[in-house]
Amino acid sequence: MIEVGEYKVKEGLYYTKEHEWAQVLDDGTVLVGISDYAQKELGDVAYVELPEVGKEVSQGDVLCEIESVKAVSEVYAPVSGEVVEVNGELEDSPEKINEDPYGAWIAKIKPSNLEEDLKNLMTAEQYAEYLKSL
Amino acid sequence: MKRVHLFDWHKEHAKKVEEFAGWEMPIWYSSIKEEHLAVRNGVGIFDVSHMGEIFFRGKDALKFLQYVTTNDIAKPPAISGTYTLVLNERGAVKDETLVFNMGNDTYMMVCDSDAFEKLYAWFISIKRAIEQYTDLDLEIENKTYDMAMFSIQGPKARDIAMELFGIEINQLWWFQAKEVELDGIKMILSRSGYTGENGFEVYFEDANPYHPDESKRGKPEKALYVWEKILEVGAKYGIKPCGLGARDTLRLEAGYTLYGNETKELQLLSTDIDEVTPLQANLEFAIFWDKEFIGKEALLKQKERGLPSKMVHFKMVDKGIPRAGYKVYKDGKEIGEVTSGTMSPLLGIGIGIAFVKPEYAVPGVEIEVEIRGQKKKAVTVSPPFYDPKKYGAFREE
Repeated sequence: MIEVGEYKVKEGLYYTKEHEWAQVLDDGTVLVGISDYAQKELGDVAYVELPEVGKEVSQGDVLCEIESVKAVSEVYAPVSGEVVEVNGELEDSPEKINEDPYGAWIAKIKPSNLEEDLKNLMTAEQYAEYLKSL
Repeated sequence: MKRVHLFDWHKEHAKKVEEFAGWEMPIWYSSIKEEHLAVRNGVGIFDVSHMGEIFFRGKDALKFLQYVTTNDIAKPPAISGTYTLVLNERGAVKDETLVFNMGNDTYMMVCDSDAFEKLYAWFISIKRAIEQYTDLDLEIENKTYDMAMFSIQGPKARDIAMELFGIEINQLWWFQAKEVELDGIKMILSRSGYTGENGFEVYFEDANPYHPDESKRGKPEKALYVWEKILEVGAKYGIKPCGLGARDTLRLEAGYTLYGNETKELQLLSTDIDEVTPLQANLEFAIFWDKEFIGKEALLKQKERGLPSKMVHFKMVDKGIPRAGYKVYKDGKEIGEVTSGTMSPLLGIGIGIAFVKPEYAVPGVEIEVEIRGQKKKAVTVSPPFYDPKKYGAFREE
């Protein structure tokens, strides 16, 4: 983990400016979640409206909504592709996102344009620098 | 941006500091949930110095306040407070306030942080209008930036009041107040709050480093002393500093209206009755009909014509969190709109307040709330949302 002040950045993941992370798995699919910074900004996550399996998204599209006690926030797709799996555990335990932001993945995407999409994302080191600039 | 006396303390200790109604305020220190549950199960302290305080002094102060607010503030002797509403000339709520009769022809109005400026201007304009015809013995002063106000809430608040001030708050009636002293610092203590729990609030004047009037700036020594003293004494009860996030979830669980959400002036142009009136917001208990007051005629007219919409509380049956602005349906037909909504930290379900066609504003009606295009089931209920035998000021010990 890279630490930027109180925020942790997990190495080996890709990040967006909107604070989603993407983890490319060995089978070529991509797990998506939100960063430690994002969960701290949101506060207590109260509800995750998981995307539907089969949903097609382009990079930057709204993937789903996360609600904190206080407000609704959108989660953007870090890569284009099809949602092939969602983390059903979050339905009953949305607080996992606060407890373990890099473990509590939201959706698994089968990417359609991975190589190009990754060029638009930040590495952990770049994201850590980005956080310092905020 | 406006700031309270202890802004620097909050900035250092709160995880989230954000703008609220023009004030830069602590939203949460640790987490809304933790702070919320601390108040329901133990005790929490809120710095609500952003609340407005307007003072009225003089022989005509009482008469004036009776005319510009809805409730009867003549009855209780000093020091006691009355929940009373300020209405506009067409009956809509300008603000929900507490007016304390301080004795010696002095009254303190505690009003909302986003309403005190418009109220002050409103009262001054009415005073000037009257003074065109007759002399008034009345001085109106806005002391919002000078007054610190802390709210101590929860079942253990009583123990703190006893230990620090030697006062049994359960012997005060709701909104009754007393002058108290803490290590030489004089303040007003009232049994009051906005969480549904037992509790008290203290008010006192202190220098504010962020006072808009530079000549009144200074170190908030008293405020810091009182705040830290209460935290110190409250430590054995697990006291937590609480932000505005928990303040909102607590008031909503208790079913209380919030100015700006439930009560407001819509400034409707095409009618002689403005919305939202106290009749629509279930606040008729705060209207004393046996006196003249601004907005009374409009309310009488609205009673005759019927209400265009009425407030009702509801809880979600389906998963989902209602939010202000979401549409409400009955059997597929739109019947109203949500004005406040959240996830209840205590109950773990979505709860809210809506304004709907009056025939549906009763408990037990199955409704739907549209959340992101999907109609989710909900049911209307009577407040509070929690079991009043287990939580709140009137819980069974």
